[in-house]
Amino acid sequence: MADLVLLVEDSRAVRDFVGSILELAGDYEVVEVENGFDALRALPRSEFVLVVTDVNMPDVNGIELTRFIRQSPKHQGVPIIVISTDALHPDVQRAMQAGASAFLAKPFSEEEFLATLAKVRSPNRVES
Amino acid sequence: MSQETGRPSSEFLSEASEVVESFSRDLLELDAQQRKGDYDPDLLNAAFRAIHSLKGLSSLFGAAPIAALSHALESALDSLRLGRIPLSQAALDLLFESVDTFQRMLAAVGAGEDVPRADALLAQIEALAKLEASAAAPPPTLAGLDDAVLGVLTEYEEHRLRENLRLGRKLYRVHASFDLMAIDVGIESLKNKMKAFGEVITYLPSADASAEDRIDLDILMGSDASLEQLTAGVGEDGVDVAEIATEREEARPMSEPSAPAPTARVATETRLRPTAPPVSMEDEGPSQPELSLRSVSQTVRVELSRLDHLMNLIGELGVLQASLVSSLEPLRALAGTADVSREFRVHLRSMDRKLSLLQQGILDVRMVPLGQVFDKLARVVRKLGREADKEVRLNISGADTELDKLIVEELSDPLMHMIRNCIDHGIEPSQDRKDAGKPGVGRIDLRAFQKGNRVVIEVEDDGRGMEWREIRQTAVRRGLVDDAASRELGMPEVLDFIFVPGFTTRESATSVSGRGVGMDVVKTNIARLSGMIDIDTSPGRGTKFAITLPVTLAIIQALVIQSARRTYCIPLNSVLESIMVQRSEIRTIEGHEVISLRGKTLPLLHLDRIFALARGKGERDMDRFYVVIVGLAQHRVGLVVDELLGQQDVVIKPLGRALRAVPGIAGATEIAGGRTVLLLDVSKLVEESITRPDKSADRREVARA
Repeated sequence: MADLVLLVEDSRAVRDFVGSILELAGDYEVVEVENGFDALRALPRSEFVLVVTDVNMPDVNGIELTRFIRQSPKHQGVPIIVISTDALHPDVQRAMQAGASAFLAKPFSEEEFLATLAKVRSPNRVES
Repeated sequence: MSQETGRPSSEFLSEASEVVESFSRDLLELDAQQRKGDYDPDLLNAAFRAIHSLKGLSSLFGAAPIAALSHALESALDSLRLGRIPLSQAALDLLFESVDTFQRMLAAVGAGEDVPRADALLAQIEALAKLEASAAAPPPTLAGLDDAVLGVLTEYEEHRLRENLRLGRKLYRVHASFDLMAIDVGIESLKNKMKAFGEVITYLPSADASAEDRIDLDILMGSDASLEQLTAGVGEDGVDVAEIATEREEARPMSEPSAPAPTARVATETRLRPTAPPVSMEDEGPSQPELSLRSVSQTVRVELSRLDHLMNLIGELGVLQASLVSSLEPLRALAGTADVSREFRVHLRSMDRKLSLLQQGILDVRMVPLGQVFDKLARVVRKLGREADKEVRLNISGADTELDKLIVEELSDPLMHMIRNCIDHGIEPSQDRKDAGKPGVGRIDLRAFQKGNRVVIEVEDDGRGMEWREIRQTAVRRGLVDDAASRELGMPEVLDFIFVPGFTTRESATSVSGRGVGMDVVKTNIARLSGMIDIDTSPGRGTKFAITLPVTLAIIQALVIQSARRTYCIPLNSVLESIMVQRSEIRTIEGHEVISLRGKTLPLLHLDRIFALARGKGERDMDRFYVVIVGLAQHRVGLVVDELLGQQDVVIKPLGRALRAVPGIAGATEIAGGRTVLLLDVSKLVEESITRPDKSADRREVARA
């Protein structure tokens, strides 16, 4: 079975963009959700090898989601890439402190995304 | 930038236009509220989020002038929502002007022209963002929240906490625990209750106490209400409210302690408005003749079979699309095809999007109000009441609640039977009622309402109720349970007996409900619609049946799995999680295989054994296998499967006669590759594993797909 990636992002077009990069990059199947609550529901159902999430979301934000993932036994080691429009925003710092593995500021190119993906996935890839 | 070459701009255009439209709606509402005095901060935040999305979108798609303008606007809106600059009329004028500008820019993108720059507007907005609020009071500190909590809030959420304090409100932490399966329903209901009391600022999920399939949420909110008022208003099982201590407590003598600032009140009322309860349909007289004439001219009647045909076509298109995706795989492996394969993939995704819109469109067309069947029931009540010589009044509410036409059709028989039951067994003769101190006219309430993505229909009477101990005795007399074991049973288990075929505590059937259609048929009908029935009864006071149904059955998300090389689908809404289990983790308790999962015992069901599937040689000795944990109400069972093949939207097709009688199979569907596979009936499997764990072996062979 293809490796599962959880993509949390409210913009359809951005989900499409990131989703296509991942699907073209390798044997990934992307589970796309629009908000934090749907992410919470999707997490226990499957074993994800990567989480990509927007920071700025209503209700459950990307920082809260990151903290939650780091607490959960099933996914505590999963790489998390957070996406923001502003690399210098304090919210990005908070996400990194909460345990995010890397961040990407929009706009990013396919190459930048892939470089970040390689960085977070290579160091301690866990075989399930 | 390289990534947008060849990317269709239509996706970008449609989403960007939607974002600008929603931004424009937020501004109009904001403007209207601002003129009245104070505005809802959520609106300003929504406007910020819209522009934030637009900036992300336009920068990814290389629309530089749009990205530049939205970047400047984003900073200005950020300052506005963080209270650094006031929302003046001049600021609103600039925001409105940017809507027009965005629309002109998007029109140019659509026409393939050069996007006009908007330097003058850009400069004005940048100037606005640089303004700082004069003489801003030092913000209150958030002493009552620890750093671990503050560290996961966004800057805006932190600001809203301070702002609530500044407005003289108290901060509360509402702790709630939800079943992961019911989280959307639970949160929606809690959210509405909380919003009536103030501003809900954020939801912090935590995993520490979330045993098994529960999730804990700490919800931070600001409110004028006292702890007691808030607790009474939002309190329910598993919800705790605590006040967050703040510095304001000590500084209280400085401000007026109990009377909230007028601005605070305006803001609260503003937020209250959207959550006002919908007008009940109950007492509405006949609608205006003019209105109904117009609605006739705007309506087309369509035969359900035509919609079914469209639905099947969409299902087949979905299958075709999935096949296209798999045919792309070999292409990707070929050297020098990266560009073609990328383009292919982009078009496929776009097709996928359109397909799901089409699917949703058809589903919407299939939705009809429950009023159709309720009207029929009203006539039945009149007729049956006369036959049984009882006076009964039917109160209907929620007749405008919508469900899939197919479900509404299938509901009329079970609802009819339940109403018959109410009149025959529930409502007492008029004299008996008066003797018992009740009104002589019996009452049946028929209620429907939406709850999350489900619809609940309640049938409640004020009749004699059910004496559950009497039902227990009957069950013993009928040999359904032995005397000793029956004493262990509580009310919910005992009430389940009324769904046993032929079960009645009466000696003779009457003409009204004794027609051979029992509650067992009602339960089967509801289960076929993937629904559940709950009963609540109180002797002397009445009985309530609550039916919970999905909004549509036509399309569901399914987990595709494989067992003994045969493929099945499991409805995703009953899947809690999937785990990998080592053979050595399995223990046997009283002949049943179980595993321990986070401290709890989970019974296992082997799909290959349930359906008596023959395995090939050498297949049996797997050391590790997948367990899909499925749930129904409070019960959990692990289904042992060989492979997880992925998730897919599937169109359910009715079963042929041969399979209809096979327990554990709910329907058939097509998956990629055009194969027909069976859809598992999770409720049946869970139920059987609870009641008769050993019966599964004699399952008929037809279940092998």
